Amino acid sequence: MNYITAILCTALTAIISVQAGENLVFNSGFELGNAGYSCTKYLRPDTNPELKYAGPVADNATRVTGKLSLRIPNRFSEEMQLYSREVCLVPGREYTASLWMKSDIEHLVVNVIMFSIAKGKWDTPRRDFEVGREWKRFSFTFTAAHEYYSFRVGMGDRNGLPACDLWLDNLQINKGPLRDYEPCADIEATTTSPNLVLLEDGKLSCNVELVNNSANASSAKMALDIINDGNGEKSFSKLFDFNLKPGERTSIPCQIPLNGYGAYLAQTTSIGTQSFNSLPGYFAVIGNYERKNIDLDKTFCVGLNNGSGYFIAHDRSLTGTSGYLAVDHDVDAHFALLAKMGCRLIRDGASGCSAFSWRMCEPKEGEFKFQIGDRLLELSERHGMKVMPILGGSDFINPPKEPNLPEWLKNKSKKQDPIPVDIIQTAKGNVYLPPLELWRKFIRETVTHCKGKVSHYEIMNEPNLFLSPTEYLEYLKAANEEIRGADPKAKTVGFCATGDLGGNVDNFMNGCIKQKGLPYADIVSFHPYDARDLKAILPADKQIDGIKAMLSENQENRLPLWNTELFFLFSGPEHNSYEAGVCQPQHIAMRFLTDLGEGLGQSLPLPHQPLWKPLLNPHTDENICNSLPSANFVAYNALARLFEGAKPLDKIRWGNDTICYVYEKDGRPLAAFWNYGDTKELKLKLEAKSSDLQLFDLFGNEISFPEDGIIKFGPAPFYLTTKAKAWFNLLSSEMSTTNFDAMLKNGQVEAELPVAVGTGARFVPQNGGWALVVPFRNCTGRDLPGKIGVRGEGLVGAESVSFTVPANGELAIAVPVKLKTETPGPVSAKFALDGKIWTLPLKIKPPGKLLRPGDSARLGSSSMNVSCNDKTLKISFAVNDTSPSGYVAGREPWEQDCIELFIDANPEFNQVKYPETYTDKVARLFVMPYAPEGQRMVLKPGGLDLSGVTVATATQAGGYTAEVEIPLAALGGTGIGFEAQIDDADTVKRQSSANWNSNGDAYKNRLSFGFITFK
Amino acid sequence: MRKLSLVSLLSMSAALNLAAASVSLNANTEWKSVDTEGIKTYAIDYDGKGWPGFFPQVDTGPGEFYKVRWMMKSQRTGDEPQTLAIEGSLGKGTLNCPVSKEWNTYSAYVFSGNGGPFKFRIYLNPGSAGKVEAKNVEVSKVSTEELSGNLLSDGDFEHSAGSPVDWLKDGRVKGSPISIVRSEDFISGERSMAVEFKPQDGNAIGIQSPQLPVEPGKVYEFNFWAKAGREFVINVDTQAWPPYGHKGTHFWKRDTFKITTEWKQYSLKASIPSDLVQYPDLAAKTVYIGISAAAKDQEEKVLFDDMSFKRL
Repeated sequence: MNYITAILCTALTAIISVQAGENLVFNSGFELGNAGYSCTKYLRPDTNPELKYAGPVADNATRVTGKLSLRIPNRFSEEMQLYSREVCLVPGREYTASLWMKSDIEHLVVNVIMFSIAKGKWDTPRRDFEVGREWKRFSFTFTAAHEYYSFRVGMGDRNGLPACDLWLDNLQINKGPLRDYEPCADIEATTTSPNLVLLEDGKLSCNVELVNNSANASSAKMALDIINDGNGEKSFSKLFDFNLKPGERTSIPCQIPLNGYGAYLAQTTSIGTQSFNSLPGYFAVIGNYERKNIDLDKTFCVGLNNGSGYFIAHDRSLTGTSGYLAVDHDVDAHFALLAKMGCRLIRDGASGCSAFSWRMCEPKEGEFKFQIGDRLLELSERHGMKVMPILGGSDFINPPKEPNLPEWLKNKSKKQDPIPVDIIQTAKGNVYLPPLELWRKFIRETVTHCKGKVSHYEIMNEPNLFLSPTEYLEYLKAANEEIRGADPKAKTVGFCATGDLGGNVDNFMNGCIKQKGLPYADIVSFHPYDARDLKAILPADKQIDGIKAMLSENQENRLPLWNTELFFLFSGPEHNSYEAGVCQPQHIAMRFLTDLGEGLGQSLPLPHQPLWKPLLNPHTDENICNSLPSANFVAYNALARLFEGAKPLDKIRWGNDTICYVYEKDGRPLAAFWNYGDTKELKLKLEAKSSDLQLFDLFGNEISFPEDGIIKFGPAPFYLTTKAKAWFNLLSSEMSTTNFDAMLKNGQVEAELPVAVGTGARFVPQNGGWALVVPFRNCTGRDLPGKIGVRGEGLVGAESVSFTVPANGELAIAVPVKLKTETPGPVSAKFALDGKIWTLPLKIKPPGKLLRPGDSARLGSSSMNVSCNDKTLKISFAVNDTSPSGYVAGREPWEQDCIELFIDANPEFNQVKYPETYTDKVARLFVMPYAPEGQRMVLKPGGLDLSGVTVATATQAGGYTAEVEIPLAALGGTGIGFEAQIDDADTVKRQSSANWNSNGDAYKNRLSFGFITFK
Repeated sequence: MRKLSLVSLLSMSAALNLAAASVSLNANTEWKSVDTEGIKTYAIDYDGKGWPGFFPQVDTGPGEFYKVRWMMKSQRTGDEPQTLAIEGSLGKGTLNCPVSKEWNTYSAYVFSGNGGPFKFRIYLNPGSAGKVEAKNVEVSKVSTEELSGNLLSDGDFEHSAGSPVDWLKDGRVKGSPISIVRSEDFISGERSMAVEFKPQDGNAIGIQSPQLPVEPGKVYEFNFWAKAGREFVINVDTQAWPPYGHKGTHFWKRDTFKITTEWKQYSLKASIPSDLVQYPDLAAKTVYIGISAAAKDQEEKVLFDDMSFKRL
């Protein structure tokens, strides 16, 4: 910096106020270096062949105020983004973002974004600025739509990204219009340390960094607390005194004892200073993973998906070149971390860009380029990992704006026709099928190039979402032949059927098996999005059993099964919601151990993002800019150390939704057990001595085995193994595997309450009145006789009903009630068990509507009438509709004028979990008055024989009528659950619906139906 | 009202159909009949004197149980019980039954012994005055199925209005210690039985059930739920004392229970002796349950519900 500039900077420093308070940005002046900031770069092998990550650094040679600014070097012209720690704003309020910038070149385009993603919605107010060689302040005012925002600063645009450096200083976000700069607090602090340590190191060296931004001296006490990120417990604490002159920064070294595996926050708090802001440090403590040679066909290991965000393809990047994502460290450092964790297998190309996608490997016809893939293979190999490329990926889906096939190939491909019924809506009309000979060539070239470096190739990603079984098998067969020809040792992983996005794993697998597709693969892969865990509607183990059964029926030696993707590890949150992807360590452990226990060959469900702690922006829906190994990372490390190579031995169910898998590893038994249900306060009693067993938490920390053998279940699995024989004690002996298994089999699980009620108690008509059907489960390990009654506001149980529920079994009992009001208030089930009464609250809704023969009802402006004789139930409709939709082939029934009928032939059926799910006694019927003769009824009969159903329709000006007749013999019983919905569409799509009883959710919730009784 | 003598009883004009037939009454009687919705109801403005009643007679088979059922309500100012007098092959005897101000159905079991003609007389006992009504008098043979069910006709008290149909206060007790109350927190139902155990004249008072049919040599279980305002000890006695009078060794079994402040279930088993020589009372094949306070000087209100007496 020259003399004049220095004077100017000094002058500016003098002018600019350094009063703390209104600025929300932590370390806005970079006086603590780059603490609170993260920088992502896509490293370019063309300009940066060594893939060196040059991150932002504090620079004392130039600044606006204080002593430091932040310099972001970009000598390789790489796409980058710098993120700040998030700030909390008030939605609807106006704020101004400002910062000082300069570059070492003129006319550098810098984009400044206020970045926020909340509940899947993006809000990114943005400005592009032209930055020159002189410090200048830039700002813009925006209205916050969300609560949490980060600064995101990036260089360049589509016109180019020159090699340059960019300096930043004095970032600010304040309420209202632009204000003078001020730091966010008088004293700012953070803790720096290595992010990853081994427990055997014994201690961690860290530094507490402090700066005094104010114009006054400051002295106070400060506490450094080390807090377990999993359970919030404090594991270490130290007090410091500090005395800082105005503008002074200090660094206080500290040694922290390491007490166990896990992830920890290093929190600094001030005692006595009012204006104080701090960013916690973060570190993870793992065990040493010993890397051994493994055979992926024999050794179950930790694997990851590494698709989205890992690469950026040339045609998607700002620079027109492909690049490798690096977050705050080298790509090599990223792989080194994964290696320390114990990762041995990477699936390339789950979503987003893949190193081996067709468009990366053959951007122009006949010109094969594998540099990106080669680098990936080299990096992985160096760190002991194998890569499984997905050849074909989802490349055949080519939406107009972002095609996946290279253009030359798309032009030569045939548009899919006919369009399979079962593929996802977004794929319909966008699938292009490349010529087989070009496909073969692509496979052959890729496999030949990778021979000896790649042992397994997966053929396409989730093809059931865009191809029929016939179409897929054509490509699978060809790929398999080319793979065997080019590298006979390599394995083909095929089918990759997914339950995601409405995909049906069974249907696709069945379709492929029926067409004799199994010989075209060595391994069958699947994605269990519709069976995420053991408590899902389709439990994970049941799905695996089903697939195994399908395979066993058709092959003497059943093919191995691999779970190659599952981004959402637990049931509950909506697919693709932020919540669905925020997994905890126990979810990781449960899925890994379930897949291992069920005999899968490999399990690699997650991408790498959940491994990193989103310390800077925990409220942003995507973990885009963090690289701190988190508790999830530690959980995987424990799995790698303890379970890699284990073989499943036994599976034990103790009831109450608990599970125990028993394995054997290196000749010793090993077990993992957990509570996968919702019942709290469960305890396991094992008849065993602490001298025989070792108990661990999911990070591998040993826990004392209780003397009374009673272990209280928590949210996470426990691990159990036998204690090794003490070498110095000839009399000691290790428990054998047989005895270990027997001991576990005899385990008893008890709940605090003897019964647990389900979520969906429901009123059903009975004997001219009502009964409340209460589903409940026996939480004891013995048959349980008792009585059940109900009580509540607005109703009384007319009588109690006796029952005997088998050990760990469930029942649904219809308890006759007298309703005193149409909308009963809080209701409880009362159980008389073992001489005591247990009162359990129920969730209920008011009774559904009821129609008897001769009754009529309105649906919006239309009407419905019910009649019944001894053979037939007749439901008649008179629908007012002045805008007929007409009929369009291929349009879904509900997207045209239609009457939808929902029938439940067993409305009294109720179950503890997921009572709303359709059973095989639930049917749907669509009546389309404008469809051609013979096509006016679409039946989804479930398990009912509705072949005798007849429909008669008549259209006239102003609407139409319909009569549906259903044989009573098909329904059984004295009544049905029932719902009717009238869809009103125009010539394009549905405009509105009128429902009789439900609020429109009848298509997925049988409890929303009303009732029809036959008498 | 003209005084009625014992012989001024109504006679049955028609032979009984043993499959639960209603009694038809003679026209020369103080009971006036009214047709209410197709059901004949009989009413009397009782002056408290005499023993007005009505009586069916049936021919019974040997070794059978029969059940007499009728509905009655009384507006008498006192709480005098009604009485069922029986006369058959085992002799003559009387059974007292409660009566309430609201319609209730009452029943009584009798054993036919050697069979033959069996006379029943349901009559009012002298005391206070008031209007009394009756209807639906039936006599029927008891099925095997019924004998293996709950022998208390209204064990959960849902069909008892005002006072329980199965339970009668101790004859020495003044006032009405037994009532039907609104049930707030039992398993189900709207009604429970409340008994105010309060010593009178130095005696711990109690309640008793009707005569319940039993088979000598079998085991029976009496179950009930109870709760009290505080811990309270009760005695439950199972005994045979037929309406025909006591002979021989008295079969009597006492169980004691501590009732708590929460609803809990209690039960006892009674093994009915098979030796009719030692226990000739059991030839009548009935026992009854008595519940009383264990301590004479203690008083407490106890709620009861879901009572059953069944053969195991």
